[in-house]
Amino acid sequence: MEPFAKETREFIDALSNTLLAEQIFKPHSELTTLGFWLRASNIKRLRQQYFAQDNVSSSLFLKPLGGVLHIAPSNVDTMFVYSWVCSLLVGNNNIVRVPSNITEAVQKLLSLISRLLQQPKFTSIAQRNLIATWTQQSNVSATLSLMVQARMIWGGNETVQNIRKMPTLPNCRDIAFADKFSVSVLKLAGKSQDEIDALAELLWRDISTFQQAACSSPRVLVFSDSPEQQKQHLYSRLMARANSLTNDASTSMNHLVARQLILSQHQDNYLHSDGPLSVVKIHKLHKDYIAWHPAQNFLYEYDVGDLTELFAWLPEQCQTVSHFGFSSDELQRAVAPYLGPSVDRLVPVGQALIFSSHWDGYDVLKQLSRIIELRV
Amino acid sequence: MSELVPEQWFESPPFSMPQAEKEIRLLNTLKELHQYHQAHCVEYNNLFSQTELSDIESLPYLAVRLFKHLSLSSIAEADVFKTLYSSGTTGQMPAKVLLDQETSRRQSKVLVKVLQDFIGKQRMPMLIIDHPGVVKSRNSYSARGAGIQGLSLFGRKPVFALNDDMSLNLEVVQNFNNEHKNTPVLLFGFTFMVWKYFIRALNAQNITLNLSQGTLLHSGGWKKLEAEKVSNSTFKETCKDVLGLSQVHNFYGMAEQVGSIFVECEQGHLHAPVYADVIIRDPVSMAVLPNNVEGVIQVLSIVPSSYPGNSLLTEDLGMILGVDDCSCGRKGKYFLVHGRLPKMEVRGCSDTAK
Repeated sequence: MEPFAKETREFIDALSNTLLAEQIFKPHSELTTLGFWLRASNIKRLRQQYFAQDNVSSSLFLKPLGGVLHIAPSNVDTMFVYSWVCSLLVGNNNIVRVPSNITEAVQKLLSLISRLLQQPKFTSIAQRNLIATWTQQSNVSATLSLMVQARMIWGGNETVQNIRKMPTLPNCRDIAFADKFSVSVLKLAGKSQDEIDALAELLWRDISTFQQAACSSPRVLVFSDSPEQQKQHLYSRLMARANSLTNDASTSMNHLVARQLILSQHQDNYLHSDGPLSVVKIHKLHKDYIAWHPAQNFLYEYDVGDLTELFAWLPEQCQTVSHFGFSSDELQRAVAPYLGPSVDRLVPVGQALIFSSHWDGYDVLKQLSRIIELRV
Repeated sequence: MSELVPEQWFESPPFSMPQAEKEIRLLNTLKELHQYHQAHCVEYNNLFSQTELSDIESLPYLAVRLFKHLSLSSIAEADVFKTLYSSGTTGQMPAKVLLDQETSRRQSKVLVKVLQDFIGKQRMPMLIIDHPGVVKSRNSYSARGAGIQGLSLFGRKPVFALNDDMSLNLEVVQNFNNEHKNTPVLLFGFTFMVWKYFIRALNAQNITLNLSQGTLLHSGGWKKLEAEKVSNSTFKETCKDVLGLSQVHNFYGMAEQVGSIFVECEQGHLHAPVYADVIIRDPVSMAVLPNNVEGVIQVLSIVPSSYPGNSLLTEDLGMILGVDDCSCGRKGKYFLVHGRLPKMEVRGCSDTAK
């Protein structure tokens, strides 16, 4: 099928409209976010971006790769749709493995997809796409690996290594997503209480969605030029949101373990709060601290002079930097010369979890296409 | 060092001191140890700077999982006498603890004192329900190896019931049975191995033993047996049917707190000896819970001084049943262990394996 074929766009549009319109999807904010991402205007933007040609001396033609195997992660349970839709848009045939322990939201989503695919106008999509689950212990992934032109491998280092061990056709591409973590950079000087209240809401959305287990959920709040009083106000708002939750026994234990691990490492590390939201101030962002982070509403606080100082030491696995309070100029200046092998995207606070077709340093749509050059 | 844990601790019998008196003694020694670790273990000092300790409940506790990530030590590297590794479930990081000679010596003393109270002073012929390979390395021990090493002190001429591939060594077992039938013997092994590789293996071959004067000590947790729906009472009944013995004592303990060992009495209750104690806490608020309410188990012990393991918060659930009044006559707290804290799915980015 051709990239951005009419039938594909119509299917995605139908999916988007139903997700945004029907009441049963309303309780699941991740489905609303998905529906919003799939809406026609966003797909149109992706299409323009995809076909934009900047090389005048040659023509580029974009073609599908063929068959793509998607291994979806289970921590962000709607991720399989983003992965699938990107590949579907550029015209590939797809087999998507979803985790077996699916949530209620995913069940609803799957039944919607299957309902749409039963419509006669989407028959050719139904024939070329399969969403299924199988145990990782079976040889299904291995068998399929020998049949596809690309594998989208989500789920972190261990999954990537395991799937990579399975042989593929010689021309198969692996688009692999390794373990990542994310931070928020905040500059609170001069901000009013109302502005900080609004910030807290956005930040809370990024932290609490997917129990802070997504790679792009912020785990560290990095403060630059932020008076203590304003920080405290921000924390009090975040805690007010967190206090509506009660931790279960094992989450409390995971928090306790992480707090003790961090506090034991340096006398300057100290505890701000240990309720449903744990906040630990750290003197440096050590790799171990990232590894010990237990998710589920646990924050590290770190202070820096300015952004360049932050980017100089950010560990390699940093994916998303969500920002608040910095001018475009400050951001540009910090990114251009100082960014090393870390940081794949910088977005405003509140948008950390919104999927982009530029992810983990890939242009996913292009990665899933064959690019043919014609020079005359 | 000898003032840190006074020798008189090991002179008194392990189960005759009433709780109130025991707590005063425990607090004195645990305070000394707390200060000692503050001065000798940087991580401990970073974590627990408090100096005011009014009662044993106010002692700070380390989460037991810390030993999987950190190498916590209160001694110079040159004084490390033994490194102990917990067995750890497959795929998990093992916990690590460092022992010096003092701690190791205290561990053996406490083990002797406590176990003698249950099995007497006489050294009995011993059958170890494991394979000989488990104790071969000398300086680094798995918890299994260390447990066997420790318990071997109580046996005479210990022999191993299993081959290296965990199959039954029938010749050894039958010789042991023939030589010692109807005389006192000691059997020791890890609960699950005793069940799977010994009792069930004997059963499969229709062999019954006649060790009517024998005592079986076993430890290591019930998790795997619960999965097979084997309760403590089924376990005991099957021991009687297959091995012919009726003295079966489970005990609770962990590699991370060497020396604290809680043995099940004739009533089926686990007992805290004078050198150790248990406190039950609410798993969320960490408040101390009253008797007969389930919570996470905190264990206290005077044994470790080479590493800060005197007060640990386990990930096991249990409840205190009573204090000083168990009908077996032993003083102090008695309790039950109900299993592990339910494992929250750690939903990191690396979990498509489900």
